[in-house]
Amino acid sequence: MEFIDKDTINLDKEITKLDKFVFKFINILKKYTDYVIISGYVAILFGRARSTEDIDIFIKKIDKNKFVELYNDLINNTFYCLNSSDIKEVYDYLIKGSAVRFAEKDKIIPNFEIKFPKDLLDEETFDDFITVITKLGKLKISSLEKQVAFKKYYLKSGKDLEDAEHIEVLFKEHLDKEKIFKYKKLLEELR
Amino acid sequence: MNKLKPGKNNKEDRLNFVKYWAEYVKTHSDEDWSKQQKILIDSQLE
Repeated sequence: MEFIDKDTINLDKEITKLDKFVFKFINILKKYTDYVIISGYVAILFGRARSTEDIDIFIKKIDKNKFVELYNDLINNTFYCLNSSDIKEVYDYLIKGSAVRFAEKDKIIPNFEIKFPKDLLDEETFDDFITVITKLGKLKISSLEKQVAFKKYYLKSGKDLEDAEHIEVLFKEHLDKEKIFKYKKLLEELR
Repeated sequence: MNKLKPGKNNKEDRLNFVKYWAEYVKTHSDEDWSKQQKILIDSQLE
């Protein structure tokens, strides 16, 4: 992997079944709204030796009509929502700040956990992202510094601390330590 | 690459391995590490 510029990484990795699942969903999603992938899949994309049952993602708020179009496109492409088959109910969950999950028909895992940003810290993810170029196309992921800060100082489970360690070792020369500290402070203030 | 250091307990042992693997990913080609990772991930998504 190599940085093409400070916000773009070229990744020449072998494509896994999980990657294919991610691109299948993202290629539909991006027709309707902006997105940024966060949390575990980011570490996995960069080689962490584990899989995951869900891919966490922020999507930019869209109105109900647009969401209906997105929902129907997902359904027509073999996805379903684990939380409800009532579009209005699914949209209401999102508007109220809950996450909703989509998987492929007849499967529970892996699934996408999508949510609207609920505060400034979440909103800011859309201004501080990295584009990763893979053999299947481009993906937008949260900044590495934000990932490290969230996992190390907010989520703090064993798995999260290991993900943060992986990213810190791998990108030691690229990570902005002041930025990680800034996010740590923001997390202490806002969460 | 340095040799993998055993940990004093399970938590430390796991963390040592995470660092060791991350160092491997960092110092080897994408093709090399991702072939190994693919076996692990694909086997869980049969």
